[in-house]
Amino acid sequence: MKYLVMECHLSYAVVLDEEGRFLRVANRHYKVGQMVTNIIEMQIPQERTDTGRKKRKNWIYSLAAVAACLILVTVSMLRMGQTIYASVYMAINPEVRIDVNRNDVVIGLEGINGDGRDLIEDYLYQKKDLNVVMSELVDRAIGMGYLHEGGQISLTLDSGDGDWISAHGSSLEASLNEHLTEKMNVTIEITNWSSSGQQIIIPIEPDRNDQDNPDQEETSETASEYETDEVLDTGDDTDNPDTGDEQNNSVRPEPPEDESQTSEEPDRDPWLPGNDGDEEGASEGSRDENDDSFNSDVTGDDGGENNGRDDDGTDDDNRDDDDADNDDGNDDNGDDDNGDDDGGTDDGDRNDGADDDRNDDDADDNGRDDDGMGDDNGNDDGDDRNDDNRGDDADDDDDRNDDNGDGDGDTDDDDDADDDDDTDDDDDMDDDDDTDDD
Amino acid sequence: MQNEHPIIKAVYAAKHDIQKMDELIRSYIPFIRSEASKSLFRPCTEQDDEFSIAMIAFHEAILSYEKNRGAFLNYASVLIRNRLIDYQRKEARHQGHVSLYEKSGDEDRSIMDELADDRDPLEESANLQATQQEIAELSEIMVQFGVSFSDVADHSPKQERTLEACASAIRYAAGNKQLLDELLKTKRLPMAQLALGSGTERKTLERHRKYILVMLLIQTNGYEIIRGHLKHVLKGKGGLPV
Repeated sequence: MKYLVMECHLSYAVVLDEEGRFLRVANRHYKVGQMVTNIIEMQIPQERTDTGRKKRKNWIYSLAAVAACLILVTVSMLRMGQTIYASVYMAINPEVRIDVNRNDVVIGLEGINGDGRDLIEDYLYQKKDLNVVMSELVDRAIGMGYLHEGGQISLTLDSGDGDWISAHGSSLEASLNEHLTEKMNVTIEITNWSSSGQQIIIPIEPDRNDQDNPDQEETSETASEYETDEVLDTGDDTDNPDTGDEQNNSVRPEPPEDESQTSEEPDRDPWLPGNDGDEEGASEGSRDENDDSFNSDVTGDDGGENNGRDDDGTDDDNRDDDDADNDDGNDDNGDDDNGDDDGGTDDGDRNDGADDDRNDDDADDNGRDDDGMGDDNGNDDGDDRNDDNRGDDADDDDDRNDDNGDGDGDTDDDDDADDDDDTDDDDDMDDDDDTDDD
Repeated sequence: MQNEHPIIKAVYAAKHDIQKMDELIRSYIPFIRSEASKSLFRPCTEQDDEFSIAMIAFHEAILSYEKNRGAFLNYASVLIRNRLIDYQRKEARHQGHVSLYEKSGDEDRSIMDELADDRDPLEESANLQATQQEIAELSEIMVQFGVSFSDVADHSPKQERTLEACASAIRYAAGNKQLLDELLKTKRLPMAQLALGSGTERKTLERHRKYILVMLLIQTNGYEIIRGHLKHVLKGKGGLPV
C-alpha cells in the first residue's frame, strides 16, 4: 500500500492511501507530496458516541430481564391460589365435586348429577375452607332430605399429590364424622384416586394369596369385583384369594389403557400413595381396618387398570380385596376400571376418578352401594363403612364406582359385592352378600 | 506535584486547540527525547524514527488523557514506552529485510528508485513538485470550506463497509459535472442529491461529511495526480477509472 503525504505537523503527518483513507501517522521526516509505504498510525481514542450508546443501552437489558422475572413470579404466585390442587367428590345421592387449591380453600364447586346441582344451588362456596364447605353441604343435604339417618356419604379424592390424598382421606372423614356426631349416624366411605386416575395398585404378588394382607382381601374383593365384571368375579370375590384373582388377571384382557401395569406388581405408580401400594394389597388386608390405607389404593388405583387389575393380580391376592386396592373401587367400572368401566363409571378407569363411580350414584352407592346404606349388605356396610378398613368404605365407593363396574348394573350391588369384596372381604368377600361376610 | 496542575490545564486546553497543542509538545521535546532514550537504552536523537514515534505517542497522550488516570507525565511516558516497544517488535520481525521503499543513501530516494531506475530522476523530481502543487491548491480550497486535512483524517471512514459506501457516492459525483460545479459555486455539499443518486444512506454520508467534501473536491479540475493515486477508489467494482 502506498501512502501520499498530504500534510506535515510537528508531531504527526496526514497521508492518503490508495483506497481513499486519510490517516494520521508518525511524521518520519516526511515531505508533502512524498510517497511512503511504511507508516505508523496514530491510535486515536474511540469515538465517544458509539461506546456511549452501547453503554447507555446496556442497562436496559438487565432491567428488562429483571422485570420479566418479577412478572413471571408474580403471576405464578397469583395463579397458585386458583389452581386446582385436588378435588373431592362427595356423593350422598346427589354428587358434587369440590375443587380446592393448595391451601384447601374451595375454588370450585360443581354438581355432578341433577341432585347434586340442586344441592349446591345458590350456595356460595368461594374462599371457604374445604371442611367447612363439606359440612355445610352435608347439612344442606340433610335439610333437603337427601341424607337420612343411616345414610352414606361417599368421598372420592382426586389429586396429583398422593400425600394430599393420604392425609385428607382420614382427616375429611373425621371432620365429617365430628360434624355429624350429634345429628345422625351415617356411613362415610372414602375412595382415593390418584391424579392419573389410576387406582392405587397394591403390588401383591399374585402368588401371595392374600397373605399379604388380610386387608388385601378386601382389595381383592374389589378386585374380584372387577374380575367378575370381566370374567369371574362376579361377585365372588371369593377370591380365591389370589388364585382367583390372579387368574382373573390373567384372563382379563387388559384394557389398553391400563396404565397400570397389568402385572400386579408393577403397578406401583410412583406417586401413588399406595406405595405401600403393594401394601395396598397387603395393607389392604389390613385395610379392612385401615381403610385408609385403602385410600392409597384408591388413589392409585384409579387407573383402574392397575387398580382394578391389580387387584386381580396383585391385589387380587386378596383378590378381591385387592380391588379394594382402590383400584377396584375405581375400576369397578371397568374392572380394569379403566378398561372395564363396566358400567360406566370406570370409564376407562381413568375417569374413574369421577366417572364412573361417581356416577355410580347410580344408585347404589355411590357410596352406599347397594344397600343403600352403604352397608352394602347392611351389615357390611356398616362394616364397610366403618371402614372396615376403610377399604370397605372405599370399596363401597369403589363399588359405587363399580357399580358400574361390576357390572354395574348393580351399581352397587355388584359393587357391593365388589365392595364387599374389597373391603368386606373381610366381611364378606364381596359383600355381595351383603351379609357382611364378616 | 504542584507542577501537575499547570500541565493538566495545558493538556486539556491543547485537546481542542491546535496551536496550544503544538506549543505544549514543543516545550516538552526534551522530555520526549529522554523518554525515548530510556526505552531504546541508547541516546535518541531527533533524527531517529523512534523520536518521531515518541512524538506522536506524546500527542496521543494529550488527546486521551483524563484526570482520573493519574499524573499526566507518567501517563505520557508509559504511552511512549508502549509505542516504542511495539515498533521495536515490528522492526525485529523484519530484521534483515529492507524495504525497497526505504530511503537509501543521503538523498530522499528509495532503493527501488535506485534499482530499476528507468525513470528520469528529473521527472521524479518534477512529479514531486507537481504533486506538492496540487496538494497546496487543494489545501487552499479546503480552507475556504473550513476544513483541514487533520479534520478529514479524523472523519475518514475506517470500516470497509462505510468506505465503500462513501466511494459509491464519490463515484456518482465524479460523473456528475453539474454537481461538482454547484459544489464549487455554492460552497455547500448537496448531500441529499448524493444520497439519492448513489443509493447510499444519508446517515452514513453525514457522518463522514468532511471526508466526502474533500474527496469531491479532488474530483474537480486540477487534481489529476491525486486522482491517479486514488485509482482504487475511482475504479469501483470492476469499472473503468473515470
